[in-house]
Amino acid sequence: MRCETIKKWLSDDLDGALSPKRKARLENHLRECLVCRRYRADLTRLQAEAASAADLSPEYWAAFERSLESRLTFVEPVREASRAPLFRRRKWAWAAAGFLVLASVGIYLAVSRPGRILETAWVSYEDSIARILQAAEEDPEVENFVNRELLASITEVAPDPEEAYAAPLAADPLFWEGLSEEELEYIAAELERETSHGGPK
Amino acid sequence: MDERPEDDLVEDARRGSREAFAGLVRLHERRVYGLVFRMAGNHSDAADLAQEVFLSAWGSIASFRRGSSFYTWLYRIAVNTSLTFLRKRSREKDRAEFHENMAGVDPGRDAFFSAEGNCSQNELRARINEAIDSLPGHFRASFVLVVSQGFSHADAARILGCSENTVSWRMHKARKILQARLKPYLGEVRS
Repeated sequence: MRCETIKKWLSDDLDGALSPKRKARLENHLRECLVCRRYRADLTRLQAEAASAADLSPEYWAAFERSLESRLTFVEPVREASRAPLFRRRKWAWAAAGFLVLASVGIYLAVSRPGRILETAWVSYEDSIARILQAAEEDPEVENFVNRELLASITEVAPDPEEAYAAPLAADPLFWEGLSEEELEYIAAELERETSHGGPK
Repeated sequence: MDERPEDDLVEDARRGSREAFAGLVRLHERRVYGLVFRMAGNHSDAADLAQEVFLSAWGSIASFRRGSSFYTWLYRIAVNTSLTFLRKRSREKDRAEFHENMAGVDPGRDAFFSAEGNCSQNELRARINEAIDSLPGHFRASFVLVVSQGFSHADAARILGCSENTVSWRMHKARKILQARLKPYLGEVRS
């Protein structure tokens, strides 16, 4: 048995908090260990001296009570009813604080994360059409160049009107069925004349 | 003097009766004083602390819950008031020692604790008080409640708001510290 454990048990024993089983083992150890017996003697002495209470006269207590009584008149007990709303207010304050924190985090995420996407999609003024048009207004040569480029881009994008008109008609099977015999003969004659092949019969 | 049972006094005090509260003061003033005296280490501070404990108790008597132990509640106020006082005093002491060191003054505490010379009963008691004063706050509170006030580990745990094992451990450590500091004097008395 280690002496350190015995010292802990000695402390519990002095406070009346040691189980009978451990007390028996403690006594067995003490019979054999001089160091622990001396430690117990020191603790017992310490206990006796420290336990002695402060001895004050009845006059002292009478003066103590008078002084306290006079000071109590200036202290108003806090009623339960007046405490409850404060408690409830505190709960609301915590709830509001929590909501503000969540709202702040939400705003931060909403603003900061898409911010990167917006940044990449954003066209700087240097590359914008507004700056090119402004430069075109200031310099006629630039204006001519810009107009040419704009017209060229429009013709490139715009579809051929004839092709756009013809393609859907030819692709529609009901188109041929809706034509009369005369119209079909006319179309066939025209095609034969242009390509020397017969059209649809 | 009010001779009613403590529960009746507590109930009336909760309703605002200062007379009933005065009865509670008379029931507990000596033990509360003993506790704060052991915590503070001198009568001057103990008197102020004891008054402060009862004023705090009166101010918050409405928050005392029916069915719980009044003395546990009151002694918890006393321990907390004492610990707050000790922390404040420790800060002030640190400042004072800093100024003394700056002025080249040695407080000479070790000279007081010299094992040389006779160690009478009163001197031993004074040294024990000094040694208890040097214990850390929570160790001191446990030691004072159990040794000086005679509370069980279970009651001390309820007052301190900790487990019985914690009280037991603190008692063991406090006794070891005190025995180590007072060993020469305790040995002298023993021999």
